[in-house]
Formats: sequence, structure tokens, C-alpha cells
Amino acid sequence: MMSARPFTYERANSAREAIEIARAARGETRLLAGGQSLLPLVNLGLVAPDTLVDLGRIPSLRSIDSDGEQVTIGAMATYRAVAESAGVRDRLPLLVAALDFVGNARVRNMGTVGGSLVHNDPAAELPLVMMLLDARYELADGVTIRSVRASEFSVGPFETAIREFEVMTAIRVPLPSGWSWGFREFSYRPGDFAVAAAGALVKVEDGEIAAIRAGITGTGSGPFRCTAYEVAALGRTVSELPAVEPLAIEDAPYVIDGAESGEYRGHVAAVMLSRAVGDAMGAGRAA
Amino acid sequence: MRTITVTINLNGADVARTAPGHYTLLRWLRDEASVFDVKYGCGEGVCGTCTVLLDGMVVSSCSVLAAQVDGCSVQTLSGLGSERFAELQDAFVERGAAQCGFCTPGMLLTASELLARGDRPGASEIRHALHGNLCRCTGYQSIIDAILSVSEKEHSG
Repeated sequence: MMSARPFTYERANSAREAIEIARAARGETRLLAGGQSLLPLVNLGLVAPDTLVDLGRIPSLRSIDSDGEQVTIGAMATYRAVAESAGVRDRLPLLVAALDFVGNARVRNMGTVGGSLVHNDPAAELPLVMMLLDARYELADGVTIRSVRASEFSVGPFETAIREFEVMTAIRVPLPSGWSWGFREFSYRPGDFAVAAAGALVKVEDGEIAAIRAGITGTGSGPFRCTAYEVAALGRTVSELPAVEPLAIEDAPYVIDGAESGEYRGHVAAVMLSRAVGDAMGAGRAA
Repeated sequence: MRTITVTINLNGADVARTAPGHYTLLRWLRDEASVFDVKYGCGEGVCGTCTVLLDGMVVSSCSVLAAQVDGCSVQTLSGLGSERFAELQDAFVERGAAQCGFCTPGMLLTASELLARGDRPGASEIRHALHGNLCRCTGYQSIIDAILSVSEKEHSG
């Protein structure tokens, strides 16, 4: 049996305590959210922490609340809890649709929204969806809390704007009133990492696109907005949607799904984007 | 190496074991609690052979620390005593849904959780629920058929 190098397990009762434990610990310290990315990496020996600080016993980090303006998701809310939350199902169907593609049932039962966002796997769905929804993340350092926009949080594959001794406590998602949505993902087998995934939010007025946010992930570099396409799509009707050019994707260094060719990946990404926008326009679904 | 005492309601009885804090639930179950119906497969949460029910929900015991689930309820295959489980077992036997058997505990636990939701899963829901359970023998169809037959039986009449 593969087995982790021994480390010290610590359990925090609050975000502040987690930071205190991490500050006092020697060597490499990691915060443990749901562990569905971190623990496999530890099992494989790719991450070898001296201390793990478990955030799993902090009830306030699990809450999911909504009001007339936004949905606030505790960073330690599991994918399943979010997907089954009535407040989220009613208000954020784009998020619910994307959650269906995350890992497998076991991952969704244990893995957390905050854990995924901080891990920032370049194939992950949630960093893209949160970017499209213009979510903000609350990051606590034990003294103050700062708020960072999703689009500014993702710095690169597995890299984010979170600082040492900060804990993500909550994700605030403004309600996308008046937007309709689409989400498409292609992988070789269900539950595998995406070869490419795309999401779109569209505001349609008199049959024409009045506003659009469209983005892609899974292509290797993390999520990004397709700004040239967005500009080209403005003012178009569903029958006049611009063709999506195959993306110039470099052969990706982080790709582990067998689709190493950047040319192929760029083609799939363009198809996914085209279909996601078509879904958002065609079905006219409220986001 | 610091140890931690973890108490788990394991298959209906409280079990306390002191083990190093870095032990996964899988290792705790097999090495400390002598539960051998939970299998080590990939160690990455991908294959599903180490599936257990944590407070009624499937998780990969290789990707959960025992310390994380201190105080929780864990069911492995041998703790599933329900009528539904007996029906699943019979259906698996009837349809040849097990061959080498290594994936079978995970398949049965995943099917149990799915059926316990009570919303009469059809073939596509069953396939979706089994995405994370790999079988290298059967080709899956007999497993899906077996689970589907129990689903249909539960909701008939």
C-alpha cells in the first residue's frame, strides 16, 4: 500500500486557530480542506507536508446562505452540499451544472468549493465558473479579511493570489439576474479531467446579445475569458453567432488525460465554447 | 510521530484505535480495525475499491484521513445488513456482475447509496453514479443491469 510519509495532524476549531497553528508549525504546513486533491498528492509523495491543519471541524465555514443580491458559500461547503442547496439550485444553475462534472460521487461528497479554488487545478471547473459569475473570495489572515475577485485570484496552474497564512473563508457570488447560461465539457470518460470545458453567460435584448461572458478551461493554463469572441458576439442574434476559431493552445505541460496535442485541444475548446454559447442563446435559460 | 485516538461508529459499533495521525481511513480500517472487505486500489481516489459510506455517503477511504472522520459513522460492505443489500447481492450473482470481485464491495456500496436516495434511478443515473468505480472484468453492463433490476423491483407494485 502506498503510504504517506508521516506528518503531524492538527485540527483547527476556527479559521483564526488554523492560522495560529500554521504559524507555529515547523517545516511545510498545508491546510486540509476536503483533501480530495491534496491527499492523493500526499499518497503519491508529490506533496510531503510536515503538518496538515484540518479545517473540517469549523461549522461556520460550511454554511450556504443567500439573499436578494448574492449567494455566500462557506469555503468548506462540499460540492454535494452546494449542488443540493435549494438556494443555489434556484439562483445559480450554471454552478450546479458545472458541479455535475467535478470528479466522481466520492469526490463530490468530500471535496470542497474552497479547496478546489485554492488548489486551482488548471482543469478544474469551479475557477472558470466563479470567474464567469464574477465571484469574490474572502481571505482571512487572522487579523483582517480581504476580498479578491475570482478573475484576479487565479494566477496560473496551481497558483493563486492567496498568501501564506491566509485561509479562504467564503465565496460570494452575485446573482446573475437577467443572464442565461450554458456549460459544456468534453472528457474521454465521464469524471476524467476535461480535455476542454467552456461556460457562457449571455444577456439577450430584442434577440441580440447585449452582454456576454464566455470562458474556457482545461486547456492547460487555467481558466480564461475569450475576450475577442465576446467582442465579436456583441449585437449578434442566435443565427449570426460568430464562428469560434480553433484556439492556439500550446502543448500543455500539465495535461494528463492523453490529449497532449495543443491543436486538438484548441479545436475541442472552440467547439465547447460554441455549444455553450448556443445553449445560453437557444434555451434562453435564466441564470 | 504523533498518534491520535480515533473513535468511529464502525458497522454499528463504536471502535476506538490509536494510530499515527497521518493514517488514511483505509489504512486505519485494514491495519488497525482488521476490516478487510475495504480494498486498496489506486491510492488516488479514482478507482473506487476503497469506497466506504461516511455518514451514509460514499467516500474514498484512501483519500480521507482517519482523524478527519473521528466521531463519524462508517459502513463497509460487511456492515450493510439491509434487505436492499441482500437484493443487490442476489442480483449481482444472478447477472454475473462480479468476476474477480475486487471492485465489488465498492460497486455494492455505491449502488446502496444511490438506491437509498429513493428516486428510482434509471440506467443513465446508475451509470453516472458508477463513474468513479472501475471494473476491469465485466464491462459494466451486467453491473448496471443488476442495480437497475433492484431499482425497478423497489418501485414496482
